[in-house]
Amino acid sequence: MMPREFSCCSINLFCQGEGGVGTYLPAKRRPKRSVSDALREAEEDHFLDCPQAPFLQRAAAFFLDCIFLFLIWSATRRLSIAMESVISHWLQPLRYALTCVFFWHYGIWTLPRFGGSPGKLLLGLRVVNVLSGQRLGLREALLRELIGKVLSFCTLGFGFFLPLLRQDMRALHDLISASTVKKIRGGP
Amino acid sequence: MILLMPISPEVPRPHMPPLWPALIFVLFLCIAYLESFSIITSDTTYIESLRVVTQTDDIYTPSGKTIGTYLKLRPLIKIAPCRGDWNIARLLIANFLHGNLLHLLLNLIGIFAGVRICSTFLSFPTIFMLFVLGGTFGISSSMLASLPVSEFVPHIGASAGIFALMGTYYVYNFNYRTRYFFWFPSQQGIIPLKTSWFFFVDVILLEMILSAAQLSPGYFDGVDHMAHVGGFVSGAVAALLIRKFQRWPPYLQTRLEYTYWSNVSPPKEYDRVHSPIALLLHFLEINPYNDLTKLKLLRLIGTCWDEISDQELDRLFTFMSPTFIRLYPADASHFIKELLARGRVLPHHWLARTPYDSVIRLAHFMANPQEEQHLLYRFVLEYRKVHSAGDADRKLEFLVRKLSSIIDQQSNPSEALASEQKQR
Repeated sequence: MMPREFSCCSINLFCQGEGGVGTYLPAKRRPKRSVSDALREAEEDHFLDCPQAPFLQRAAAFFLDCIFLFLIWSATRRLSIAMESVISHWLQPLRYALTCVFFWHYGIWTLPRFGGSPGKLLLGLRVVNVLSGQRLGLREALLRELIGKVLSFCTLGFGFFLPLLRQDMRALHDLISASTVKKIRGGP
Repeated sequence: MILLMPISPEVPRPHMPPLWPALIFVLFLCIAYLESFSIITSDTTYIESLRVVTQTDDIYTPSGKTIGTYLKLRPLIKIAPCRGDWNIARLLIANFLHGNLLHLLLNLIGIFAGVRICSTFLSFPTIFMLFVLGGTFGISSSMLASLPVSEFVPHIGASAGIFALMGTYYVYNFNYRTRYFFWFPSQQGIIPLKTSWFFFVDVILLEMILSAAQLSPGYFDGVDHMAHVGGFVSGAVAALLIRKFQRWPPYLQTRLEYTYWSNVSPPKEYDRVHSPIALLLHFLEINPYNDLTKLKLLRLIGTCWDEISDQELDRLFTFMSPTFIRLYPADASHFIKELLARGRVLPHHWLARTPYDSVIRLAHFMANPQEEQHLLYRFVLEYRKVHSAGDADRKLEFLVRKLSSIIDQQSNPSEALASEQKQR
């Protein structure tokens, strides 16, 4: 039988850790793991074992991304020129806004969502965390794409050619964001 | 389209399109350009003189009958059609004429690509006919839809015919992939992409939108987008009619497969299960890249499991490539689940050559529903047996351990909790 001082209210104090010997803390509930979680972990483990993407393949992926971006930019520019004769000039700021949204999704959002830009995905490459093999988070993606690549550019492009000199084939923006580019399959 | 050039459908080497039809077309266009060079040069000189005389750069604005009368006399109209003056002969010849060297060069690249990709399915005379008739239809539709201000603009160029060939190719290769070259040196410069959506977006979507914009009065573009769209549509319609006439089965891709199918005679002893399976397996031996035939075979076997022999399954699994698993993981995983549920064994040669990432991809699709997860576990165990001494052993050990603990937990939660607490 519990002494009076150990009433229901007192038990709450005990649960918060205030108390002496015999403090009761409910066991932490583990998140229920599913087969899909196990498979995802196995996939991340596999990515760590995959070989580094060769420089030529990374360059080809970058070139392909440039082509996609140019095609879309060119198409929207021609469309807006065609439509300006019909619609008024408020179309221009809307076009700039849509362009920014598009570049955000293409260059940054695809990294945490799919593991790479469309060019990289088509050539069988993935951008993963160098230690865990997991996809980058949004913060790491921003660090890699915005700050890392700008720094690589500011070094007169030397940062982009670093994979040719390093054994782990990582560029400057990879080093900054603790990422690496893996070749997960032979090709598309 | 120039930046991402379609070079061939995704077919094995024996089915790759030959170069000679495309080179013959290139030769035709070059000869036509050389023959018409003097007329084109005199036409350019005439138009420049007209601009000097009228003291305006924009000679097509309707500023009276005078300019129209002079435009009617331009040399190029003798051989090229325009809205105000045309005939059938000039409509046909217009497919081979070009205004300048750049125009010719761009169309030479396009004709080379268009003829080459169509050679996988059609013979040279058919391609030539499609080019001329499709191009003529495209040019005619552009002439009819063009605005009065451009009555004396001659319509020339092979691009309507090129788009007709693209429309034909789009119909024939709709369910398969196309290899694109994006001007990057080395093998990295070629990627296969699905024809149904990417080819449409790359080749014709923008043309359709810009041709609609050309109907707007204030918009003028030097490119005849309407002719491109007209050519594409006529090529696609012609391809549908030709296929209907040929009775081309939808699951056959190349001309070699079609030729075999049209010449094959039914076996002497026809079996309703084994004969169609043998025929489909033979098609796959002719073209191992044909994913539609593989899907058809999977579905056919799915209706008659008890009658399939191990040899037939072995032969089928030789064609279950990593690319097929990547493109159709749901169908492949469903088939493997059915196989394991019926107590059949997966062929060892297939397990041995299937890469680990394909197994993970299949496993994702086999993870549901929960009641069938034991099949996934069996699949991974069978894969592990074949790779017990290889590089994947550590990763497989890791995966098997995780799967067994989760599947045990799901089937017996109290026992699993007890064993977990014991381990702690």
